[in-house]
Amino acid sequence: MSLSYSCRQASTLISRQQDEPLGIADRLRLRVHLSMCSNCSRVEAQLSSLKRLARDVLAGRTDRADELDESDR
Amino acid sequence: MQDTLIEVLQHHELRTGAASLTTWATAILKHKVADWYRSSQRRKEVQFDAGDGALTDAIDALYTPEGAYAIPIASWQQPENREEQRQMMALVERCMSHLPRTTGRVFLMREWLGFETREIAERLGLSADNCRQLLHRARMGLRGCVEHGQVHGRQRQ
Repeated sequence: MSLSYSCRQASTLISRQQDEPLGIADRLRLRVHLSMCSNCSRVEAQLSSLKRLARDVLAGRTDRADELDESDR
Repeated sequence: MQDTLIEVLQHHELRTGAASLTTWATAILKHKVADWYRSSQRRKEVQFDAGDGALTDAIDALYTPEGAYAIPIASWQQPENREEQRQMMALVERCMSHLPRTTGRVFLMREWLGFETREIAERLGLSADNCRQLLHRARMGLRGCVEHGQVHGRQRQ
């Protein structure tokens, strides 16, 4: 099993782990890759916040914005 | 039916305002759409968006031939107040509406209706791998669109 994974391959796993549990080999590969790669770690963070944002937009939610507003005061 | 709807709308609006009315209407619509997709006679065969050149090119342009990022990925700034959060949500909404047809549909079935990959694939007559690929393209496409929008938004300010 190769542990060297390209960022492009890593991005497919980052997306896939949002939908289904990864197998042990893929999980290990991704974890090793992310621990060494700041670009992919940022992509992972961005795709997570996009998922949250998209779900909020699609649910017509503004309460997260309201929470932020509360903390402004 | 219409009378009932109008009545509900009026009362609902008086009580709780427009924001939660949207949430309420969206929830009803969501169940209707999910039912429509799940109904046994409904199997919508779709075209795989493989031929979408613009999105493919945008994703390809991120990587070197070896599959590393061609340009370093910058962290995103988190929205700091309500206005920034609103702008971010508006941007995400705009970017979602620009996704290619099947890509956008698969993304909505996943993130709005909460369908599992296998279920989406089955309902749309795609393979699970095609479905994963479309979800990946949708997310990377949104990522690029939002990043682009953020940068341009700041330049205008």
